[in-house]
Amino acid sequence: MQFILYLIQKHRNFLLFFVLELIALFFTIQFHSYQKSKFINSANGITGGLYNSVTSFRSYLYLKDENTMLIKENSELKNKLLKKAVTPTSFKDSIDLRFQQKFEYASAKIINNDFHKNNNFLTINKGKKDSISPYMAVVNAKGIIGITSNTSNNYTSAISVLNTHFKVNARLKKAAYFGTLTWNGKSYDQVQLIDIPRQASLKIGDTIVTGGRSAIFPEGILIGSVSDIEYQNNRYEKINVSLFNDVRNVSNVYIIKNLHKQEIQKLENSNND
Amino acid sequence: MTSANIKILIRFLLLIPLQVLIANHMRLFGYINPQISLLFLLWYPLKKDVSGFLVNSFLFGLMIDLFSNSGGVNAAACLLLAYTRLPIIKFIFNDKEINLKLFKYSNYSTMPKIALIFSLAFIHQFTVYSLEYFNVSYILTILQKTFTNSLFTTFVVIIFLSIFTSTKKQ
Repeated sequence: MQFILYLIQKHRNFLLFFVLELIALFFTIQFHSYQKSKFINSANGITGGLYNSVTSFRSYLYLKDENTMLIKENSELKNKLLKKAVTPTSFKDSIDLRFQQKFEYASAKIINNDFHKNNNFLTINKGKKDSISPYMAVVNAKGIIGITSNTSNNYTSAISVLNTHFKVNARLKKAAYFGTLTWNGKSYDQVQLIDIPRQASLKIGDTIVTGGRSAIFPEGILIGSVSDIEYQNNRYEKINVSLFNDVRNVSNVYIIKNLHKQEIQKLENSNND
Repeated sequence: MTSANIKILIRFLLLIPLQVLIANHMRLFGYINPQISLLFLLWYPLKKDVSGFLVNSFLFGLMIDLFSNSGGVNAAACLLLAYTRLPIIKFIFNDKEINLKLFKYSNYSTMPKIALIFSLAFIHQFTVYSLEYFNVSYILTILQKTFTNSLFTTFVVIIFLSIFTSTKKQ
């Protein structure tokens, strides 16, 4: 017994090192296997608060660009409104319009943004108090940005589109061919489209939008344009898509909540049983 | 609380924002960020007891992980450095019996100091990138990123070290 105590006493530093290293590895493995870390993430008061105060200062520098983008988006939306002429002709129509609403948009601001790593995350200045929950879409006028992953009361961390774990259903804008959007971790403006059927005729410059087969993104959110195609053995080996968004410079975003998500998931789970 | 402890606390509270708010946003050539956080491990007094050093380095790394959404990657790297710092110092300064109480970086010439910082940076970055990629097939990317990042880190850290190390004899 005394010998064991002596051993522990002698190697106590190594034991401490070993135990702490195990804890660190546990956090790392948890981060890799669940694609989000439950404990170690930037959605908390300390990190969120610090990032928030720095961003509120830094955002003054980009006010001009942001304003131009917002004005452009506004004019596009107004044009769309005029074209569609959304004036309900009868009472029934207006009810339909209201009750068939499937998505709800909330505005938010990115307060921290990574893009140099293999698995990049964003921190957003809205949280549970603003009814943000995990697995909501993060977009702006130019297209997709990410998916929320962890929420605290006031802050949310989100998986960026530049994250090797990021996957979203995508389609060609001009034809209903669906594939999956991923990122290979190499370039911050290029994402990859996989699983596109070989009969789809793809050309460089084709627009890729979200497919709407997931409960997260509405269909038709912009992603990017095809920049590079590798066609071998009668199938698409590699399709590079250059993002419309410059993910390095995103600030004001929308978070999209799918009002039917629970219903869809419940149905899908019952099918799996 | 002794003045040495207060110094450690101040470094802890200053180096974390410096790392996550400034250094992590430099992105030279797209991905090179100097690891200023290395200074915390370099400056931690050698005479302090090892277990406290291990715990503090672990917490320091974990705080950086908290800010950069990286699991426990930085905590693991900082802890490994804390454990291997003394043997590496002994090896590089070619000094079997270092006087822990009187140890000062300014007592040594520049070349061994650069070698020391580069090897510490290399171990730190290699751990960070291997755990971040977590995939053996990326070994070339990991080594390349580790090497370039360590070079830049060494450059920045040696500047910091020469500015903030007091040269007056005690």
